[in-house]
Amino acid sequence: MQIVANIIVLTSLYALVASGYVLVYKVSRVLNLAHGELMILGAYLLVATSAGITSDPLIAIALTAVFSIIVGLSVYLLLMREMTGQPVLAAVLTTVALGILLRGAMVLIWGPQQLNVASMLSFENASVVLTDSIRVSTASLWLVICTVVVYLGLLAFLHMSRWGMRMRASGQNPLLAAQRGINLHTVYALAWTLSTFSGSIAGVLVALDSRLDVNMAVIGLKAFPAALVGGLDSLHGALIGAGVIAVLEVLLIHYVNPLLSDVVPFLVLIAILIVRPWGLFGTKEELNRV
Amino acid sequence: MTDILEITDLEVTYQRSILALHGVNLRVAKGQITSLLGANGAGKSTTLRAISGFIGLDNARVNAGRVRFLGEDITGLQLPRTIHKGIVLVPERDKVFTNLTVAENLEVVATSREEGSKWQQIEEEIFVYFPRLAKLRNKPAGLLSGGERQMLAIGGALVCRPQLLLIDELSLGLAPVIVDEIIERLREVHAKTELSMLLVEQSAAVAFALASYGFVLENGKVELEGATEDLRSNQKVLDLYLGTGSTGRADYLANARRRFEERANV
Amino acid sequence: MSNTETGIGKIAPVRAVAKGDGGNRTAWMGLIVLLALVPLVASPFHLDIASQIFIAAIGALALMVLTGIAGQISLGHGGLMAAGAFTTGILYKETGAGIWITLPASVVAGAVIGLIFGLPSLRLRGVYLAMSTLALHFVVIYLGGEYEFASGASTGIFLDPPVIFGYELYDGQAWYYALFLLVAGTYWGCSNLLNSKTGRAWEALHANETAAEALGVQVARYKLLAFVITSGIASFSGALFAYYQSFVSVEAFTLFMSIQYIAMIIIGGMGSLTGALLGAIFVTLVPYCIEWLMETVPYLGLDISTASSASHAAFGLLMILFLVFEPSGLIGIWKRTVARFSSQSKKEGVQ
Repeated sequence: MQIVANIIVLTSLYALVASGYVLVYKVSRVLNLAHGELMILGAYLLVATSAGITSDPLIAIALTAVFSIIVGLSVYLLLMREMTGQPVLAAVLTTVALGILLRGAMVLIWGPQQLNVASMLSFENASVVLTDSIRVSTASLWLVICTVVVYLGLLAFLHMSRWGMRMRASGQNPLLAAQRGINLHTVYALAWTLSTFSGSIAGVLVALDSRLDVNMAVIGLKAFPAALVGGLDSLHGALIGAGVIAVLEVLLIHYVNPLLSDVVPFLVLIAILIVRPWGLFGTKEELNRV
Repeated sequence: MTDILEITDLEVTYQRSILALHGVNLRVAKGQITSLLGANGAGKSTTLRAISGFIGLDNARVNAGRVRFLGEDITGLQLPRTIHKGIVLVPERDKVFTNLTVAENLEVVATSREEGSKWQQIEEEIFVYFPRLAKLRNKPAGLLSGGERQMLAIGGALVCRPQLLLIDELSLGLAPVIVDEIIERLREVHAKTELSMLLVEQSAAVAFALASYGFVLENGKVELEGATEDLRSNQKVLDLYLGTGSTGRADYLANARRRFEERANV
Repeated sequence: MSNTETGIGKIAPVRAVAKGDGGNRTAWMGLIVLLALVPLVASPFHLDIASQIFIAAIGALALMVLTGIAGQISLGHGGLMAAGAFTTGILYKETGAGIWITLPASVVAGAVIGLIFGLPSLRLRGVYLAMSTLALHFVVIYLGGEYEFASGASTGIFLDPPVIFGYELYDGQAWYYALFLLVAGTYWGCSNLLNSKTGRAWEALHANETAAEALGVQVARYKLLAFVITSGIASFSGALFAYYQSFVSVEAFTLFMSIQYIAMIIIGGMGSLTGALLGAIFVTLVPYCIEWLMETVPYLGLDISTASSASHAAFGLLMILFLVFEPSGLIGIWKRTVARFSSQSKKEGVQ
């Protein structure tokens, strides 16, 4: 039964990260390949706040949330806004460049060594005994809870609030959105902010659960297939995609070969790209410009 | 009678080289419905887009001429500023958000700042104009028929509280029964609100049914204008846009060919 | 017309470059003679940098043809180079085969993988294609890692210097001349290819795939051809890389390597073979410039452990700057400068 718990935790992680890809893609048709780095940046921001501003873990996490919002907003305003009207590919390469820039900058600032974030925050990552045979770490439990909350929150926001509707509308028909007076820049900035925010939550929890170093940004890349399997513009699709990837990964590692863990998501990605490129729940479409 | 919109010698180029409008002059009288007739490619949509504002993607530019709205020069004003001025366009294609429900399509509009109960009121107002939409309230707009989409698009535009409503191809691709219904609805809207409208049409019958004044656009230029009654009796308009007899069209084609050859010789 | 697919750099300067080549033949000959004389004066350190540039240039030319000319984005270039390096490494280790077997085998392996890389491109465009090539990168690296693990060579495969006509390619000067010839040959081959029917078909499907199809270009065939040819070249440069380092390991072929090659073609200037060469020079030199900075400006706080991160950051920043401010790359800057000077000299001539 432990394996089921592992699958649920991994699903939550991939789903939380994938939601960031989906938000930005759904609204602006940009694939954010810097998402993994932005996610890790969230964790490093927690390190910075806890070391430099406050030692209270809760306040530090709250401040980190605020900082991650600022980061997301600045990524759009300072960088991605410049790419409006450019070919999608130029925008995607820009995010690749942003990713490598962040990766380098994070090592320059916080060093290449692994950081034990949990102990820095004196957060005790004890394992919680759920039943006799199932135990998960506290951080994993939080991860599952946060994913549920984030998804419920995002779905409610997208479907019930005026700005959420505008985000959905702008993604479907940007020209009409502009003709109805919706400010696309505001909508895009909102998408980037929310995406970075949810990514940062994932980054913080992953860092609390294990250790933190820059190479963990690869989780971002591994979560990408989850978003794609479900369909890049579908939030509940991302959830299901995350489940598919997590099940395959956990089972293959458990029963076949641990080395497969790095490659399974990409094999699934290739399979889905060949069979159904727009994903299980996505919209079939083709767009060339931002 | 004052003009809410006045266009003088408007020239628009696409991609810096393709001239789409060469000196269009037209006016829309306040509180009136004005029609703009023309065949495919005559420059009707470009005229509307030039009024309602291009976006960067269009790669289009106003080269010369003036657009005046309520006496104010708004030439080259971009979206969403034109919306804030009160100019709202119902586009020809992709006129609803297909992934949103009918009610959401109305709510998503950004310019109305009213909240809560006031919002309900605005929405109900639209449903009074278009009762058919009220029944479809929770249906995704992607599942609507062409006529229902047109109604929803007009409804969405009305929520923006326009002072000037621009409608691109009101009747294109719709069944005559539906067109009649929409004409009826628009008449009601106009009777109640005295909203100024500029209606782009290929069908003179539809244009004449709604508008009190009309312009005929050909090859990026206004060829003819006049009150609807005058246009109605104009032989050329009859031939071209009411489809009375094939001789008229043949004449027109012959004329067009002659004009083309003249231009080629120059 | 701008390119809708990759669209970076709105120029399609292929033909212009070719014309320029003809016009400046003497300048090119001069450059070649100059480059041939370099080893006589250069230190081994500089020769090493030059050889690295040559290897990078071959890979960059391949990616330029694929992405810059044919408009097919690939994030898996590092994977292809790994394929070449591993084919060579495994063949050498298992059979002791010489360079006349390993190099062609690497090219063939690369071409086959290129065919596989290319298959998704028949259905996918833009972003989705980028992702499929990225995925294949990870698969190739995984297979390489599996081999290392299975064969017990978990630290990598060692290679002896290749033997050509009984001569062991070992010292810097020999490598310099060998690689120099290979770069020149690749450049020549690519530019001939671009001026052929194939090259025109690639440009057509880059500009507008649907229109190209309507005009009778066999889109599927030329797309696959682009992948096969360029993957063969990339794999070839990977094999050269392996021989030059006398060592093969998955560690070398990170995602960062793929990004570096993308940086080369962006910085060099999309759509231009000369741009690929400029990009290769530029990108190869960046880490050395950073090391130099580290030594000359000690209070920057850079040291060995952070130098590679500094170059990551520098690459990211440079790519962003070029993408946002100079999408036509170094070649665009160069052309503008030349145009300005020539127009000035013309004016002076008139006066």
